[in-house]
Amino acid sequence: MIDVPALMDGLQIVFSWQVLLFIILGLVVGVILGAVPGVSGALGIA
Amino acid sequence: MATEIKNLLFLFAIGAFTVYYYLDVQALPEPEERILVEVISGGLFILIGIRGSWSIYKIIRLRNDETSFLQDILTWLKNKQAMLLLSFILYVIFIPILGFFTSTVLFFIGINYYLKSRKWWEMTILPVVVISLIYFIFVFFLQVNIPTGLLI
Amino acid sequence: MQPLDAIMFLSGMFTGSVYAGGITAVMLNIPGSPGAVATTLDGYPMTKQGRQNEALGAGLMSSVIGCLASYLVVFFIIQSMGNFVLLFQAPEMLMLAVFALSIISMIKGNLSKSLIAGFLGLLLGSIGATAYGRERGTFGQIELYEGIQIVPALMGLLAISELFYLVQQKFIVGDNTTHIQRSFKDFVKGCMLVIKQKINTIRSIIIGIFIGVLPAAGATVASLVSYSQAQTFSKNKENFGKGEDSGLIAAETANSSSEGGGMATMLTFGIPGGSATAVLMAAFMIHGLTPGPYLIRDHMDMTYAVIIGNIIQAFLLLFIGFIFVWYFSKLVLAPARLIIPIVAIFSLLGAFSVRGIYLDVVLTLGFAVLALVMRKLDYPLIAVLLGLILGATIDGEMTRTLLIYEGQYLSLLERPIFTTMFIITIILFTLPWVQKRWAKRKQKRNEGGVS
Repeated sequence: MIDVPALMDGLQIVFSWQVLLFIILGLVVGVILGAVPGVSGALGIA
Repeated sequence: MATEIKNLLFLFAIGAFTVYYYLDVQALPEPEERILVEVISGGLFILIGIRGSWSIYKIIRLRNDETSFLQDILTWLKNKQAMLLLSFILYVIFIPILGFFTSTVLFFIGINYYLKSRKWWEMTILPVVVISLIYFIFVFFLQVNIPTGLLI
Repeated sequence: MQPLDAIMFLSGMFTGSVYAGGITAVMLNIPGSPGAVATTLDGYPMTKQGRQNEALGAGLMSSVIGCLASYLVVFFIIQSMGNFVLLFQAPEMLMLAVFALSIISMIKGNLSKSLIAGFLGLLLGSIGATAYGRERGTFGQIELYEGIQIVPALMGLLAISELFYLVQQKFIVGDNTTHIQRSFKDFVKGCMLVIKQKINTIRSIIIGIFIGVLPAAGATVASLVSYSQAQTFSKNKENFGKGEDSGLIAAETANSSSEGGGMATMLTFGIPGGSATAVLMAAFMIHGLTPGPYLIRDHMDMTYAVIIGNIIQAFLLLFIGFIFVWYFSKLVLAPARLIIPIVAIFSLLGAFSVRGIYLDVVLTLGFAVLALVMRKLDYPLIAVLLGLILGATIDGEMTRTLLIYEGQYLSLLERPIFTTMFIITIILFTLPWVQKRWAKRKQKRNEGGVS
């Protein structure tokens, strides 16, 4: 089931302002690119 | 009756493509390579036969119908859809000749003019904005190739 | 850049693009990815009716809930998901693809026309290299060795073909925009629809997660299966394809929840579920993390960080999505004369950008002409699209199955999952016909009783 020590470490890594900023940036860029006909997520990620 | 004639022609085209593809795969040595196409072709022939027979029956029943296939086609050719299709075909033909950006500007202005746009900014500023956006998204950001031609 | 920063940026981009693909599917009948094909079936009709805000709200909430639920499930069972994936081998994958095709039999209209379109799509989908590496159906064109790409087909069949009808009116919604939804309350109403349709949503999430974990099945099959199941169990079957919100919700929820499933397979097995997860996997490896059993064993903290990061992403998508849908919904006010050239240009360019081969642009136009003819003659486009999308999968899995079970095909029936899906598929293919006959008989009996 859940590996609690690994979970605690993971929570510590993810809850930083940097990671949250990159998530928001990624979402915004993804939505803009995905809304362009013909541009897919894979193309954007690549 | 015109609709059923169009339907028959469409079924004939699908049938011709299916026959050609079926004969093409007979050259493949392994049965696993052929089986899918053979099964689908078989199914398609049966369905085309059923649908085609029904269309022929309806054509015979509606032979005194006032609709005319040729008249329908001629009417459609004067339609906006036909003009749009022609513009797409010309656009696709001219991209490798004139280059993507040149043909896109001409295409954009041509379509807008045909669809009765008379606002100056739709014929001038908007095509430039669209091209700039394309350049920024595809060439600069995604670094994806744009079709090339003799001009830009 | 730290590994997690890069991975979360790319993962956010993936989630955002999956969601935005649904927006274009709803507003312009252009699915941003194959997974959004099912979204166009009811999303675009809702926009044409002026209910674009409701459709966008429902799409957003479906994406958020689908994404959130799938990552929550993955969080708890990622370590045991592997056993489920291993049960699905070539025969089961073949049956799953055929099961997804059963949606063809549910398309309203003439069954023979739907089947002809579906078979044509399968034929087109089989073009390309065989499992033995030989050319099949390429007609001398070396560029077709990889088969017909999905993006050109989607652009031609859905995007550009719709422009032929848009040219006959002034706006997407008709000749005037007096009847469109303009209020923010309509977005909220759309969001609430997802919460009200609990059974539909939960069923779609489950379908999305469990099909999403299967490599090569992914969002497309998940959304199509979910859509067909929603139609099977709906009381408004007749309304599907005409702007039925439960169809849109089923498709988008499964599309988004398959993301979590695909991510689980990638993290657990190192097998990408599709092109986007393949690129994400490359991103992992660039930063020194190799997805697979060793990632789970040695870097479980990173795995949990990615999963939790994606859960946070789902919440943030709700806020970011609301900002974007407000602007996207204004698209219905744009005159058709501006939308037509812009959509055409981007669609053709998008088709070209897949491989950089001009044949894809020509194919896009070819598919657009095919779609125009088919629509005039009442042949359903979705059937061709389904056949095209699933044709390659069916071909590959059928070849594998035939090779493994050569001469012993009856022993396939000893596989419980295969047999169950086989029976359900037959039932689904024949059910609409049986239901029609039953309804006709009932009507005759009632009329006989009345007289």
